[in-house]
Amino acid sequence: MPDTPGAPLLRRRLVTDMVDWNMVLLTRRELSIRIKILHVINNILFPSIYMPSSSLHVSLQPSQFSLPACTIMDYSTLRRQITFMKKSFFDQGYLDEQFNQLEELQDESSPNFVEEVVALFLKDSPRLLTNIEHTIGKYPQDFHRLDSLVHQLKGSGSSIGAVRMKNECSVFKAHCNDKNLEGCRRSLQRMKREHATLKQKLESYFQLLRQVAPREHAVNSRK
Amino acid sequence: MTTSTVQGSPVKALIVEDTPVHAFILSTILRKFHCEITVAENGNEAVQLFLEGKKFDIIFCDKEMPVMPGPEAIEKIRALGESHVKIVGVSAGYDLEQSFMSAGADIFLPKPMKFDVVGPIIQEVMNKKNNSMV
Repeated sequence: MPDTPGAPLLRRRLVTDMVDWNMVLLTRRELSIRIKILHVINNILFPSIYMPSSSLHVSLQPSQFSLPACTIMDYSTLRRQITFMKKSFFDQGYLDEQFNQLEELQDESSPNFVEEVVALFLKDSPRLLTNIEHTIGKYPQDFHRLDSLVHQLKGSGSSIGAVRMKNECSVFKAHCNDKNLEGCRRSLQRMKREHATLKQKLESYFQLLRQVAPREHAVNSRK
Repeated sequence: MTTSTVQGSPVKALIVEDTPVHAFILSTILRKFHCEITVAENGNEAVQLFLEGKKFDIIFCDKEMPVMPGPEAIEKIRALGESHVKIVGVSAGYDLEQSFMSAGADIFLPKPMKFDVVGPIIQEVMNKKNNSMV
């Protein structure tokens, strides 16, 4: 539909922010398409919302819609990214079933439980890695102490499903048992690399989750 | 994990655990069953609580801890006459079960813990507690 010269058009652009609505120019056709998309999506997600499709002056009050159309589109994309990311963690062996168990514990009474547990692990584990490194450097070697420290790290990692960390801890423990200091050193370096990689991946994962969390809360509160 | 079957007065739970992650996870699980939770960071702290006259219905006790390991703490707690309290030994490695059971634990749960096994244990403790109050 071409623009009609002189016709009063109320043109809006739907923005990602739920609160701020900016007034920008759209052609009549762009506006019509976006309204139709918004209408379909909102009818699926929310109770019936009046959409005056014939009027040139389309009232898109923030109070009528919980989410702008392009935000809903972004939400779907984000959700797909999160699902894909999590699947990749499992496929690449970074996480195991224990992580799913943690997610099952998360509910309204503890909505950020998984992120809190992971944050606790990422906060506590560097201390253990530092202590392990410090103990390796001591003479005479204290393999009993090393075994105890890595036992703690293995336990923490297992509790969040960090399977690569757990496996490397097992390798380290075997070197302790053999009193193989050089083996312990090499294993420690691998543990530190695994820890850094896991930290980066999980922080990215929760960063994405935080972006969808307010929207999911809005959807859940309407149920 | 179902919590709706748990009724009666809250179960008093003591978590003896030096690893923050484990203590946090177990606390969260027990909170879903409306338990009153106390955390001790090692076996010695746990024994001190009993010496102070504190009472608990159930103890979840780790093995490897600084100051005093779990099995030693369990022996001392039982020696104080605390025969009624349910003691659950929790540790990685199935070969550690014997050391817990020899010390006086009632149950052993390997780590990482399967969360759905906790509910029936709490329910059993609650039933026993409520029956003893009748």
